Amino acid sequence: MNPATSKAAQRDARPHSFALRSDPPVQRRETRLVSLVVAALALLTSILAIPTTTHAQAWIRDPGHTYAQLSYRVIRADRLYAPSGDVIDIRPYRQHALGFYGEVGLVDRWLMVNASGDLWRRQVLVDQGATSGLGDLRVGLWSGLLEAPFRLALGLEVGLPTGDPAPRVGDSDDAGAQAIADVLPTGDGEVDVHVRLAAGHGVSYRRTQQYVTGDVGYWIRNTPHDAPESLGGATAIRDQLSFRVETGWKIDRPVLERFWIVARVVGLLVVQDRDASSASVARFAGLGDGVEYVSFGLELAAHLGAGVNLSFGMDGAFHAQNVPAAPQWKLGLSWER
Amino acid sequence: MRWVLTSFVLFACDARFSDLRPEEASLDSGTNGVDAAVLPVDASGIDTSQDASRDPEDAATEDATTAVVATGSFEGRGGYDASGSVTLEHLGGERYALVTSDDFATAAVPSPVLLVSDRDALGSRLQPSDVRVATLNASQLRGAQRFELTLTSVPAYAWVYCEPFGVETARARLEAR
Repeated sequence: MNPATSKAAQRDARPHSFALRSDPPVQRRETRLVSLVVAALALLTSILAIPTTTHAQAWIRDPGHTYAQLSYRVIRADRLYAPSGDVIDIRPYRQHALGFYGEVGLVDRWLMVNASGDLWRRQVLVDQGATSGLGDLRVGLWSGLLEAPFRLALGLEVGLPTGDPAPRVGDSDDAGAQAIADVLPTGDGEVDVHVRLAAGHGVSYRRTQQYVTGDVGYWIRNTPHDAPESLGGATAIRDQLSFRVETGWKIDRPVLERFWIVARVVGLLVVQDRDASSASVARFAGLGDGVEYVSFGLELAAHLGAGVNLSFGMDGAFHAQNVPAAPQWKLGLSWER
Repeated sequence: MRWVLTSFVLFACDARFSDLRPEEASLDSGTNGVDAAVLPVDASGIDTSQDASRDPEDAATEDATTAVVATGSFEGRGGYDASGSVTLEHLGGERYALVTSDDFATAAVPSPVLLVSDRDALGSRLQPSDVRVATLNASQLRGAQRFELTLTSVPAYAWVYCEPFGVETARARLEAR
């Protein structure tokens, strides 16, 4: 499947060295019991405080410190999670996206700004049609609430409708072409607000380092400024609950210390009811109303030097609605200083 | 707030569309194979909105030559809900009318196509033998509708199908009366 079709999933998490960035490693002479208690506390905190996107927002960057990532994501699906949650066959569907994510610290501990989005998004229904263009963008502010015994930060992110929720075909194209374009939007067409609480903690145990981070958020959705008439026109998108739990691990040995192994669970759930008379049209591209998923992801990240990291990973849903039923593969290149 | 939204809409970029359909296949093609040439009501100049507003029972009594030849009940497919029934009326010669009941309802999916076919499963692609009747607009997803078409034989099934993604959403088995 692919949760990545939705905006929440488009921001991904990377294990850049945040486990080391702000939390001094636990002294190795500390007792094993203390380490386990701290790790358990961090895990519990992360589970209770959910994140939304992955970028270690629980760690507020120092002023002037920057993190930036470019990523390429691809989905190749011939099945879909229907609104009922059933998996059904569809025509072959492809989604390609060039995404970015950036963070800049502004005020020590208290303020960090982030931005994310799809610089280019292409969706293809094989033997039918394709749309491509700029996707939706997001900007946010984060403020640190706690630095000990774990990191806790509050974020407010605003989604901007820079994508195209209702692609138009050319004058020479027929009504059939417009019907295809209608189901391949590059944006959801609405301004939304995402309130998130993120927690995280990093520990060093023997010759390994681990981090656990998580966040939970409430995503206030809106009514798109435009929507294809064939899909019933603009209908309000229901609010969603987002959550994420992620852990990373690496070995403190020469060469091996350059690699992080990351595992995560990410979810997006609709939390508002809607009566049948105002039901929105089922969506297929992961944008718009009614998108849900709970997914599991794995990622391997390698530090190349000079603050540059290369990552490769995949996410796949085990519960979803209105998203393609296929893994999302992602290749990322990040830089931080 | 409105000016903020407007400013971002201005900065937004329209998506570019590429038509990838093979030359012989088009969503709104009026040709439907050699066995059953269908005239979609909206393509043949018939006012679909007026037809849809006609009471199916009144329409039957108004035309003495009309005879119900098959009926069926819709069931949801692919996890989608559907309800109501459909009646196939013979208008004379190769002219027929497909009439949905007052309680007809089908899921809102992109570009839903009402069609008839002898196949009991459509899969993700239509075949030339499948007969498109009409692309349903939002108001036609519920309630009584009437669509006239030309057929050379009585089909086995009526379908509602999301053609862009190739998804079955509703099916009614037509049983002879």
